[in-house]
Amino acid sequence: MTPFAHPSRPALSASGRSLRTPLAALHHVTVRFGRTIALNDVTLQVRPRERIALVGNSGCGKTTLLSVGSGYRRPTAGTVYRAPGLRMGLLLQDPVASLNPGWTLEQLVGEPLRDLSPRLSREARAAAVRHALLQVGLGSIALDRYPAELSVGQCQRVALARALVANPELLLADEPTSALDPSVAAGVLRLIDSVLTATGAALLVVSHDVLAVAPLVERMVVLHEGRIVEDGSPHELLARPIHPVTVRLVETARQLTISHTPTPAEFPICR
Amino acid sequence: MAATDPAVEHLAGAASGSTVPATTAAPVFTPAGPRPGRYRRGTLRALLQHQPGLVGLAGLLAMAAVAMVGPHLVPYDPNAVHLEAKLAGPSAAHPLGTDYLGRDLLSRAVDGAHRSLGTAVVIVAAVLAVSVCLGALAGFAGGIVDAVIMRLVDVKLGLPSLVLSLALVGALGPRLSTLILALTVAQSPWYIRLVRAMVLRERARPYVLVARVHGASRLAVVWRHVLPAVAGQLAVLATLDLGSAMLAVAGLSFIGLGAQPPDAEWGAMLNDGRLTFAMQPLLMLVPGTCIFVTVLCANLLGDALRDILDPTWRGHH
Amino acid sequence: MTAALVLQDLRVIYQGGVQALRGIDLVVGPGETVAVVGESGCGKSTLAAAVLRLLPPDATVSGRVLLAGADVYAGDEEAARRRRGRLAGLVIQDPMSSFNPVMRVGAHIVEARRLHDRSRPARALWPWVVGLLADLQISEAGRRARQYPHEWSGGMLQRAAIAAASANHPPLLLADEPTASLDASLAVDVMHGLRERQRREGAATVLITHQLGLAAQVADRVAVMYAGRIVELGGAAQVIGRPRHPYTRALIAALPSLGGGLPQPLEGELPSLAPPPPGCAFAPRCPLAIAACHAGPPPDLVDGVACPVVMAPAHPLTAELCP
Repeated sequence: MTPFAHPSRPALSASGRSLRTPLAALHHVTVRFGRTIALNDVTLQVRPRERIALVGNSGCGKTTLLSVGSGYRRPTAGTVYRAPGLRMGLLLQDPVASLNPGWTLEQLVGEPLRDLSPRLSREARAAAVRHALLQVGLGSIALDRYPAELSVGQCQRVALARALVANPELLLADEPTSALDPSVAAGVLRLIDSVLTATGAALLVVSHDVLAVAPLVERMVVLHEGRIVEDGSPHELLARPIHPVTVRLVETARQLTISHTPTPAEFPICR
Repeated sequence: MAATDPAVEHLAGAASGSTVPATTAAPVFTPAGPRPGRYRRGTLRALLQHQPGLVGLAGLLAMAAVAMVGPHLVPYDPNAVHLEAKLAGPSAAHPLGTDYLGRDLLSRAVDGAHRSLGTAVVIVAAVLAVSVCLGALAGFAGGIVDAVIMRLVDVKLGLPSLVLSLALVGALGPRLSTLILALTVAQSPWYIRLVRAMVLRERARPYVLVARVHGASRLAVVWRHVLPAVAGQLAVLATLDLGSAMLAVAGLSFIGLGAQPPDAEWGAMLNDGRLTFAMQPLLMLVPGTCIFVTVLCANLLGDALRDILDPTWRGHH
Repeated sequence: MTAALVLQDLRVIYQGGVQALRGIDLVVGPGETVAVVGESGCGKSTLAAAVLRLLPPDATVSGRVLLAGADVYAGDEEAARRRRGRLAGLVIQDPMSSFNPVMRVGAHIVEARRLHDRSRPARALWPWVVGLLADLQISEAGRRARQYPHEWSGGMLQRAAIAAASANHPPLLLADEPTASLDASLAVDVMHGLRERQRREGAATVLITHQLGLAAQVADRVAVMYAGRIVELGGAAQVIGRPRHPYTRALIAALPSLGGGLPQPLEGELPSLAPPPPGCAFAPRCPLAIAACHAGPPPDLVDGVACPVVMAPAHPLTAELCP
């Protein structure tokens, strides 16, 4: 099985939408900040269950694309479409800053439910919170803890639980592992993978680390100076990059990678 | 059950079960620094453990009790004149003596409490009300509304407060209510700026952005995240300002611009006692001490609140 | 020639009882680049602070720290200050924080030099600064040197920070996570900057990082730290290409690779260091741990690896595992 295979798709998305209707789409979107052009005539679609990585160096516009897609930022030109009633989850780069330090875990993880499922009773909400924390490997943690009592990796898991608690159809992640140690980041990536597989949600993840995010997605979009310069499967992009920006990106990643990765099977038990 | 707050244990590096954070005590180079924290669950507990703060709280509560209940319990009518007993020293009949008109000093001191402390409380409350409304409006609306409000603030900040107060009093007549108006106008601009800055900062927090994308309305975000954060910081400032409001009221009354005779008010009483200080020092010492003690308690409480809301302090205590 | 840095049984205990460093022995030869790798909380930043005598005043330090032969902890604060710029330069994680935002970049580097060497006036040093920046592959060095920090990219600033730290040709450069806040292409630029500096100065470097890929490119030797101790120490090719200690192997297995699947996470958390566990600190998370690993004392480095299980197949300890 190749590393980039995706699970076979059923005919409908998690929420019953037809797989041909995009969840979100940007159509010739341009975003300007004063004189700087952050996004330049970008067109992109996210379909149900699709996993897309936005990669590129700092300043290429990938974070702006995410903020436009999520509705946080309005484009200067072009249109943004979001499927009616689309539920989204957001995961940011700094786990500690993305949690209100004066709130307990129960309040933090349960917040989206207050807006998206307001008729839920307090007990039902607590049960949903418990379930979400269980999904991210924090099933036994006390709900009345504060973020300051957790490690950075645990904070990111809590943020992930919050993003997933209302069963979103689209998970948006902005450099979700850049602030984490590699061994902790690996855990969070696996978690994102397993949860997405289980819930069938789509993924739009921004990363400057091409290799970290490649096994997670089936489609990689390379941005440079606000434009999409290449779009393909991670396998294709890494093995046969075409655009010079992609070539440089892959080459740089190669330089900072360790060529040999010992797999667990090589762990010596007895010499 | 251990009385320490789990947050304190974390910051002190003590083992606290299976969720010990990966970063232990922050060495000099850590860019992140201490994490922000408002530990509401532990705020009241922390306050009760903060000795100076507890003293301040107790003192203020006592003064408030005196101000509210005291006037009904005083032995004499504070304004009743007994010329035959004027400038008397402490005695069984008058525990603190009398003033130059024979009025009982104890009764006047108690009666003055609600004017001095009460006026300060009203001023602080009025300033908070005005600044929260205008500051929040400026911070949320932005654009023209923000610009107009801030320019008005700039104009007011350009006028010296004392001169403005004198002008207002001259125009409307010297009364306690005029004083309240003058001091509210004097203090509000500073607070409006502050509230606006706090609103702008809280609005930009990452967790606010996340909440919006997760479906929260603008109003919901304001109610849940912005206002509690602003309120916490304002509580500290307002408590500390209570002391300076009291001093301002006392000071302006001292020069005759506030409470008018025969009403008892500590600042005015200070003025009354000036001329007869040599003969009866208590006439100044008593109201002076009352002002001093009340302001001290307010400051102790305000300092305690600020300490409690500051995570670096909590780490060491 | 004297070693650039000698650490002998260095121990640091913070206020509150956290034992951040528990017996570090390390010698950095002149001109050598040693990478100190490990994850958050392993003590590597404490190490940098200890070498520069920048620990909080209530921390307890024992053991010896020799910077180019000089005892760092001898003398008072003023003596330490004089030593710092002369004997060691420092580059920190956030390039923006290293620079005064209202000072031109070139002026900042000139000031760094003049703090310890007032022989030439500032104006005369300008051509020197421009030459330095040009050597670091900064294009239009003359124009760039007149700019302010916010006009430079993170990678360029970090290279300038390396130049500023090297201004007085100190025998040791300490780089504390110099690429952690940069994306890959900027990190590669900084890496080249470090290599360039090695080539020109011939001085020693201690590179503190959690990015093993960077360490592999730049370092001669690698020291892997865990919970305040060094658990593996050896040549870069050896430690990263053929890692032996279970923690090092786990660290490498957690890295993304070309053509690989999702990397292998490392479960569990760092143990509390107040007080630290009696035996090997990694034992609770180690797939090879046996009963003896949890009992004291923590293992010492033998042939560069602090793990008796992996290093001595004939050792009685492993008899349990391999009957």
